[in-house]
Amino acid sequence: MESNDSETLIDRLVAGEASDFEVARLSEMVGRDPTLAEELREELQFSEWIRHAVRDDASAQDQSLFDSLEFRDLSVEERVSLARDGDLSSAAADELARNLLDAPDLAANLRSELFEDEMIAQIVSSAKSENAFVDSLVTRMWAETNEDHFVEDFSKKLEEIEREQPDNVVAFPGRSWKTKVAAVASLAAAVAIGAFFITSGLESSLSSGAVAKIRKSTVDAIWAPDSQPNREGKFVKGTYRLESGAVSIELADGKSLAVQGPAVFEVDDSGDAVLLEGIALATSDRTDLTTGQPIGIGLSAKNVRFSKGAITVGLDARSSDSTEAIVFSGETGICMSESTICRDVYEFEAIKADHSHSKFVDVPYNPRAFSKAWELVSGIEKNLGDIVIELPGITSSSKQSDSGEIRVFVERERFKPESTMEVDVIRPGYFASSSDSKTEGRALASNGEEMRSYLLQLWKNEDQPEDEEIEASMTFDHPVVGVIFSSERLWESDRMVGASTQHLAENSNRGLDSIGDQILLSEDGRTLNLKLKSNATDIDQVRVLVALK
Amino acid sequence: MDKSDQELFVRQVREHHASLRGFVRSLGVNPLWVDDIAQEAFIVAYNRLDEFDKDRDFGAWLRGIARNLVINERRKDARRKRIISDNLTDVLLSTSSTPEYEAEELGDRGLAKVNALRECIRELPEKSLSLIKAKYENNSSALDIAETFGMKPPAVRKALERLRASLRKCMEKRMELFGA
Repeated sequence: MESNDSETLIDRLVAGEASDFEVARLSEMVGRDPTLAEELREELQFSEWIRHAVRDDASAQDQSLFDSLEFRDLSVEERVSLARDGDLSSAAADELARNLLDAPDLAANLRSELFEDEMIAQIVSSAKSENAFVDSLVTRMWAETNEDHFVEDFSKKLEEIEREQPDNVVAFPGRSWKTKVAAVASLAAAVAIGAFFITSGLESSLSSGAVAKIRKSTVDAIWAPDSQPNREGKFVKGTYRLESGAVSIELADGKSLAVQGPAVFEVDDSGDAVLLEGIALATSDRTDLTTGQPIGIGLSAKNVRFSKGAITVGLDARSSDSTEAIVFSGETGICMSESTICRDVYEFEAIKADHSHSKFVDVPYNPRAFSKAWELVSGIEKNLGDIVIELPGITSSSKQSDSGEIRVFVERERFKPESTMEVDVIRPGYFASSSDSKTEGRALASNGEEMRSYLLQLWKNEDQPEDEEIEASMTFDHPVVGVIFSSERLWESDRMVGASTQHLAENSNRGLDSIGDQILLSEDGRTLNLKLKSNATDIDQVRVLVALK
Repeated sequence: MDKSDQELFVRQVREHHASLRGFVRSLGVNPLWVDDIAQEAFIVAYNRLDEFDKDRDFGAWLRGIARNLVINERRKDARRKRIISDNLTDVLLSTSSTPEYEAEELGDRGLAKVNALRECIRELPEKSLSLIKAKYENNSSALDIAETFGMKPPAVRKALERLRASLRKCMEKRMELFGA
């Protein structure tokens, strides 16, 4: 039976019979009564002498009370700090729990701090590393299930789940979709704010010696410790080594560079860059006011440089014997730095500089190697669902997929519509689909502003005999000003965006239909949510126009 | 098991383990037992995979399982408990609400957080890094660290506190700037 009397509690403690509750209770009492505390100290000290006389160590229980007594002198913040360090006895932890009951904010804060501690431990301790965790888990799975195929089975099941339920998929009506759309909208807003902050911050940072700044990076981007941007993601003139992942970097004068690791590159204060190793893709959104030609980025690699501006170009310098140059948008000239040999290269063309023979060799246009870098500059956050962002100049994908997917083609990176375009009416926050009768339309006037055009197309899984339904969501880094999802208006707008429709049967039905297809534009006009259902005869396409300014 | 299965498994565990372990620790689990509970959650998930509601987030589901495992710890005999204190875990559990909320709060973007933090730790001056390693790699107590570094234990705690605050700031900045 547990006691509340102080003398009995002390006796029971000295005899080593006190329960946790009694220890905690006694701690509380001595905290209120200094005389009792003194009495207890003397009792414990005496019993400690006896204990040491008969054996070397003190009981954990007494130690726990000593800790508890010392603990009383600490502030709540100091107690939390002890808890974080793990230097906390069970009795002290109980005491802290009582403090936290009255301070839920402190409790929540402690949780975040413990979470962070675990993260730090995972990084600095080899025993807590990812490999150690996985190895131990695999062994334990095998041991606990006695099934050799456990891991294999688990992998397959998880893969099925991933396929059926991609991260953050926006649920359509019939599910709890409202909260999820709100989350998507806020994500889009965060992207927009981030982009603005970085772009506006770049100009001011140039004066402090920075010549470039990171705009976006993949989660697996790792820099070499001795050649990386500073904590704010800024670069001074110099050489940098990206070990893995991809980053997009904002340079001066509206130029940007996307680098794909492993890569080594240099940036300078004129907004130009030199690729020493790896893959880089450069874009420029500025135009020479007198000639109307794009002002390209001065991107060069070993013995190779672009001589004229193009909108988007790429260099592949993974080999020491040759460098491959590719033009994604616009046209340019390319020269051997150490000679006068130059060649013009046009959109969707590629050329290889053979360093040992100092000559250019034509090579097929195959931009696949640039896919990671391209995803960062395509203007799309491929955040939700089965989406494949196609490289420029690719009209059909060779990628095979086990399930259906939505493929996104950048039709024209930059153009000014010659006349008004008719787009379908889509009210932000409300679902739309094309009905049998003509869908309501509106005229989209560009007012001289530049736009970019994307074509989204549902790609069916040919092996799937039944109709397949795909849900996806994508956030654009520029505001969506027009969406075309009716077949008629898609045909009408093809010429304006320079789309090739040779592969489509004339006047075939290619828009969204009212049976199973739905489209939703978020309130902030940047995120598009799609639910498309394939059928045997029709093609599902959507054209998206974004304003570049 | 062939190599591709193994790679796939590693990739999937990689996506969820960091945030799951952080979540487990945040509920007052003894640091020495964090990985044990996280692994148990993976094993329970496997056994109940057929019950998984595919409309839910898989990481949040895992955290829900781990949460229940931690709740069960309170009923165990003191010698077998993997938590520091029942009462402390009770309070921490009461602030953790539902697994769905956790997805937004602590567990979300676990991999990105670890990568950002890794970069921040790499940038630490040598002495700070030694201090962090003593604490998190060697699991030394403030008293032991104080002896090694010729400091007093409260000064060690203060220094660690400052270091962690600066790491948190760096991580948040990286997450924000790098669009991770």
